[in-house]
Amino acid sequence: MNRYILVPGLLALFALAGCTEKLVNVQPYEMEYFAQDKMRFTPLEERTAFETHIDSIREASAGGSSGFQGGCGCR
Amino acid sequence: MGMGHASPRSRVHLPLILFLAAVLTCTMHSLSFAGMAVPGQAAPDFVLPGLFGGQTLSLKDLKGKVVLLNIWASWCTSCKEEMEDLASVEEQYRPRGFALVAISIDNAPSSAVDFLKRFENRTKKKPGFVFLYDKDKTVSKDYRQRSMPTSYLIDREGIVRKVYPGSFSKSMLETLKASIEEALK
Amino acid sequence: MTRKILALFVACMLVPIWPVFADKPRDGISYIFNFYGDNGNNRVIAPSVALSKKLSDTYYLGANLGVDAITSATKKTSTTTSTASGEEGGDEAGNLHLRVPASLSLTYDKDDDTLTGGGYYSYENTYTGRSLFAAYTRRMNLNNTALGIAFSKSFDNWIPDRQLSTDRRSERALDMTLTQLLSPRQSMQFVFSSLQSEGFLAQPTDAFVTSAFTIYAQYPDTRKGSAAAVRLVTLLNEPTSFHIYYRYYRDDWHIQSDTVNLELYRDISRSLVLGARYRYYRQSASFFAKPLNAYTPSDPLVAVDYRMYAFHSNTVGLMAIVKPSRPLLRKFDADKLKLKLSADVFTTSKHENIQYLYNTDRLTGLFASITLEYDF
Repeated sequence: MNRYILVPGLLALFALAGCTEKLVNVQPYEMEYFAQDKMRFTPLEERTAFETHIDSIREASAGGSSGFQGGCGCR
Repeated sequence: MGMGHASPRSRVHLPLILFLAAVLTCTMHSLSFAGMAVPGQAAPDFVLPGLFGGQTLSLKDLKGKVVLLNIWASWCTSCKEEMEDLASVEEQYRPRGFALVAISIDNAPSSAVDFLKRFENRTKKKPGFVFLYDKDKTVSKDYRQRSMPTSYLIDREGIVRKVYPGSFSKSMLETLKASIEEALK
Repeated sequence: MTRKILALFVACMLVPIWPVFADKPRDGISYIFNFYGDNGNNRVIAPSVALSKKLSDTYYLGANLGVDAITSATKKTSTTTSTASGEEGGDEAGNLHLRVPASLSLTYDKDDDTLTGGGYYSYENTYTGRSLFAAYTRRMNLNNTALGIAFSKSFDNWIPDRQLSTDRRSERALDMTLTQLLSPRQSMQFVFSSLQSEGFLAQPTDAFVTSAFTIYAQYPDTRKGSAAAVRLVTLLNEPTSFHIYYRYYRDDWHIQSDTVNLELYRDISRSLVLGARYRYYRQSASFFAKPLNAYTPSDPLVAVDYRMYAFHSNTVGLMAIVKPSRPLLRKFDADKLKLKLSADVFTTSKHENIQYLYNTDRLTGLFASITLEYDF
């Protein structure tokens, strides 16, 4: 099991390590599209939650879904 | 096919990776704000058209006034939420030589115009802001905007006094008012 | 009486979809109506209310309360292997069960950090579900990058009709997420999940009945699995976005699966977004799955549920997001209201266990969702 944590851990470290400026592909004032429902990772959030439950009773697999929705980052 | 058991060495790797990630995360924070408009510097000038049509306006035209420059968009929820509070601030300080310049950076100006119409219908008030439209987002680039929204307090001499990244909370509004009072002296 | 669908609904409310934000957390309320029905004569009507209330500039309270009305059919025995089951005979009785799930959470949101913690509880006359969950998200690189980690642990109990080796069932899930904006029109997300279960993991009512014997489903006491998923969202042109999602799952029961989900959304007008989706799922069998007729009472592990076998399924669906263009009833600001609708149809491949359990060679069903969102 640890290699399944090491690999994503390494990925996260790579994302962080000295690449900050290169990872800024979108400026805060360019985020208009990500504020739209159709550009969110799960535009229909409650339906996704219900569907995840359906899948867990109709299938033997689970996981792979995140609550992170994306968006414009407006604070 | 089983998952295997962790060796003692890989048990050490995981906390180490997480620790390094946490350290890098902490140091990233300061880097991401490099290049913001710095208080004490002259505010970059701009020439922009009015959001509702009409004449263009430049920052130079407002010299002698204390200006709060607010860069916003109709797709930005927190930008819309703070508008009512900012309208109150503008109304309070306008007689003393204060101007609030709200620059919309929407891709289409009609989005900003539609929102403002709904805002007026709901609040029964028309904000006394100077509404401008920046199609190419040049002000955002010139002012190195790092969050949405961002406000810049500019004194009568055209110097940036304060930068306010993000929307105004209730406590930050009081801080803003104190800064405006100071700049109006 | 068969309570498969009912117990499974209860048992699998393990990892709530808590909101983990790039924008500020929502300050609003959602009224949700969910429906599920399939040709195994199972029905679920699940209305609920979800509240996310701003307490201060940094704290938000989340609360969910629902009522699930679940109707399931009595089990029909296989005509090739058995006489009447030990249960009440006849056609489906359509017995109604109620389950009440509730959850409470607190979110701390400041600058680049969001932390959520909470608990979940549900009760129904055959199962009690309890879980605790926590999630943390760190945004970086001017909101271009987000790292998230979420953990949940459940402490559930069966309330069975018969003696079980244990009535405990607990699960823990760990999700790690990396989100990255690639351009103003494209974003990507990686998710890794680690899952672990222990306790009585089969359905207490699953049984294979013959004229000579009855054997109940018996699974291993523990199960460890992991899933890795990638999601890409692209703006094809101004009104159209395309979503693609792939997940790979595997566990120590030797079940492996692939899931592909494709979605297309298009702005029809300022007020209306329409979408369509297709999902494909396939999985392999567990190591202890074998043809039903091959089981004997001496088998330590027995699978009756088709989900322990190899099968695949297809799902198609339609979605709509409606935003009013003018104030509703002159009172509700149009900017604050949103209506979301969806309807999906799924169908599985044929399998003898589906035939045995549901008297139909494949499962076909519909699930629909209506949500009304209002922001304060």
